[in-house]
Amino acid sequence: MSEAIAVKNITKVFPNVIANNRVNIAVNEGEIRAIVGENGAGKTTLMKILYGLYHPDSGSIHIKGVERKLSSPRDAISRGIGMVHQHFMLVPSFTIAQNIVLGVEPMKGLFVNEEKLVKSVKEVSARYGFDINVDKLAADASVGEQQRAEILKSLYRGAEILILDEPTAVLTDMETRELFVMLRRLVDKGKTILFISHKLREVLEISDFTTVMRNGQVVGTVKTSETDQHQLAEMMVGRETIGGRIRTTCYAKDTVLKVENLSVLDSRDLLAVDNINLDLCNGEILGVAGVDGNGQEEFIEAIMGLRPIINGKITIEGKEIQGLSTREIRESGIAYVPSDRYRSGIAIDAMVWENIITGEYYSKPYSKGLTLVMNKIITITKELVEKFQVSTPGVKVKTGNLSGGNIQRVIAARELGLENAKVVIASQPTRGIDIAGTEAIRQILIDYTSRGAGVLLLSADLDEVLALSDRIVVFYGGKISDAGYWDEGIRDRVGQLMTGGLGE
Amino acid sequence: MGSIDFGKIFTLTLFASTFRMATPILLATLGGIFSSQVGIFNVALEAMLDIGAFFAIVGSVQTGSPLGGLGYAILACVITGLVFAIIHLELKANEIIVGLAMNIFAAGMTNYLLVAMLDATGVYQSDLIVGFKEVQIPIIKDIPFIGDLLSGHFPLVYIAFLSVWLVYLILYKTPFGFHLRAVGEKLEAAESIGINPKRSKYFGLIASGFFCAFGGTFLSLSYLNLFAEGMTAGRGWLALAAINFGSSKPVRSLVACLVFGFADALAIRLQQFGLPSQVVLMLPYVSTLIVLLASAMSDERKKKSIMNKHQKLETADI
Repeated sequence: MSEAIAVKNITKVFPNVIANNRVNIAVNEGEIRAIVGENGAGKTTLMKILYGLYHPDSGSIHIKGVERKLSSPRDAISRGIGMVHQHFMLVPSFTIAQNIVLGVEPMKGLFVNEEKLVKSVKEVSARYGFDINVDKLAADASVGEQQRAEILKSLYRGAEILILDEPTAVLTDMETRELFVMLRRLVDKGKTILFISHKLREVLEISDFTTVMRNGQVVGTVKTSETDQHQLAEMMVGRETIGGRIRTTCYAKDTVLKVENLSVLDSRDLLAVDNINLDLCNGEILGVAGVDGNGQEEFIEAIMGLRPIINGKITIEGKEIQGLSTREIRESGIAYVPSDRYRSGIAIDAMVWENIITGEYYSKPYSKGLTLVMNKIITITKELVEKFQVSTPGVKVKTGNLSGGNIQRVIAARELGLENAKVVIASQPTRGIDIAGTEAIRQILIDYTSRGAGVLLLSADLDEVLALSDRIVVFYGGKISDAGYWDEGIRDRVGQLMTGGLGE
Repeated sequence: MGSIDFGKIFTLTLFASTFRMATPILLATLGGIFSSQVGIFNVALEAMLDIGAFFAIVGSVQTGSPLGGLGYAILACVITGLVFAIIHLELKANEIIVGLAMNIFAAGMTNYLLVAMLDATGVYQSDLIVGFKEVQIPIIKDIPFIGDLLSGHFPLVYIAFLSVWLVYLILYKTPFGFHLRAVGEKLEAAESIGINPKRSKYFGLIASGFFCAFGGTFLSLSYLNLFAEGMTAGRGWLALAAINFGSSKPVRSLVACLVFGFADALAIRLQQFGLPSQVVLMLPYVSTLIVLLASAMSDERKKKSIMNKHQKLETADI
């Protein structure tokens, strides 16, 4: 078997992060290669490099043994690389067939030859045994059909190597099975497939070889038939990084935040949180782990009143808060550090002091009826800036001009500066912050528990969750599973639960 | 002829003048469809009509021919579209703000140039202006009813209605039109297969100018042969309503244009029958409201039916 595609020593650096660090991968023709890893492991960056969307800082790409520069998706397509994006690229009012030929339409004189168009698409579809109604409008097509259309779009353009980015994320189990049958058929016809996923069960089912990435590096490549979920999870999470346990005393006493039978829809109206129960005690740090997109964000947003709930009850110290406005929920004693700082964390065009008082501006000590108490505001802001080590030329500076890490500190200062909070929900509170800042924020979270507050800590950084949490729960597919109290074996349990390994 | 015959002829005249009144709105609508199909809400149609009407007069006076007037109008309007495109696409200004600014600018500029170039204030009328002549279509003109209805219009009327078909062909039958629509509907999809969205958007705005040039020329060089301040009288806005009603599709938008044209024609007729002119002149605008209401209601119905389908699917899953 000859080599279809290889990357050699690919390095891609973004500000503050090495997304790909001397990555080497070689894939043979007719192979299904799975690429797995946690979020931020560098899978997507690598795929974007292969599709000409990103350009590597160093290293080379070889297609069929020849080194190629891919400077745009067009280049990639002309070299036989096709990409099936996670979010489909179909024009809703066009038929499936029209979408497939878009940009390479067969002509009759000046006009598009609709007859030939449909015929040629049907030919390609039949050649690979696709079951698809090409006359249907893309808007009316099911998710599975849309995905088939995307794959056909690449095949129609002569793709030999197909990259599928999390192809099963949007599919039902039934559709996933159909997809796998199709992928097998494509490989039998000599195509090569790169399959990105973090669902280990599916990876084991479909792939020939599996490459595991972590922190921008390739951890290893294993023959799928000779590995198991346990080994892959271990490679993904990286057991050697264990350590750095900060938490020593647990103060847990009574339940402060209680969530009962909570169900929430995501933005596409699919069930994101499925009948979840959770108790947070005062004095404890409860870690929430899980690969992105398994419902944890929707869960937090539902608690904060940012997303309507379809069912369930949420109480703080026995007082029901579901259905209240976000302001009322905050006033009932929740501090919230959102994960997306630019979208929901701060107003980037507002000044530092303005962001600090957002959420409290209408009450004492910031406000005196109709007017703001400016000298008080500035004094408090200066105190917080100092306490949280925000590096800024002053408090009357546009927050958007600060670095990402310092913006995160401004948010932390606003939320965690509220010393009377009963519940702290911190979603990725130290993302993008350096070590000193991280330690300061972690210490503040611990201080809260000693004052009797409960802390809900979400983080993509499993080490952080492990270092701080007394107890850890894991989100997988909108359900929650309890990994139990901290002990030496918790990392393995969490790692397996994150990929749906145990549970069921 | 008896009085009953007179009544019939009167009805036919009304419909014939419906085509005439619909023409400038239709041309602006076709122009606006190109912008809207590439995803730009072009509120500067009014400005483009105004500039077209003015430069058609200038061109007619300078060249002594209505076609020269049309040529001037096309040049001026294409430049207007290009300026819009550069401000919106290169300097990243909001399309609505740019459009509104151009409307204000166009009104001011034509008024100023009226004085500066033609030495007139408010209205310019002169024997130097050469307008278009009515076209009698052989054979058809001799057919009863149909002859009266279809023959004897100005050339731009025929061009406008034939353009509906032309625009339909471009947008729905050529690869170029496919690409334009893809850009407007799902920019990332177009981009991911190597279509340049910016180029499509430039084209959309320039095409808007091109068609509005015809619309403006019709206003000033057919029937009246004059330019008057504010002679576009909101037709650019009516065109936007027609585009909205027709979901940016040429044939459906034509229906709205005919409704507006009919309301205009009827208003003129009814005035001669001694109805209070204030009430009668409301007619075109009331008809706009009705058209927009109808399109909003049908959108709502469509949304509901999609939601119902969705719900059925969900329950089927369970």
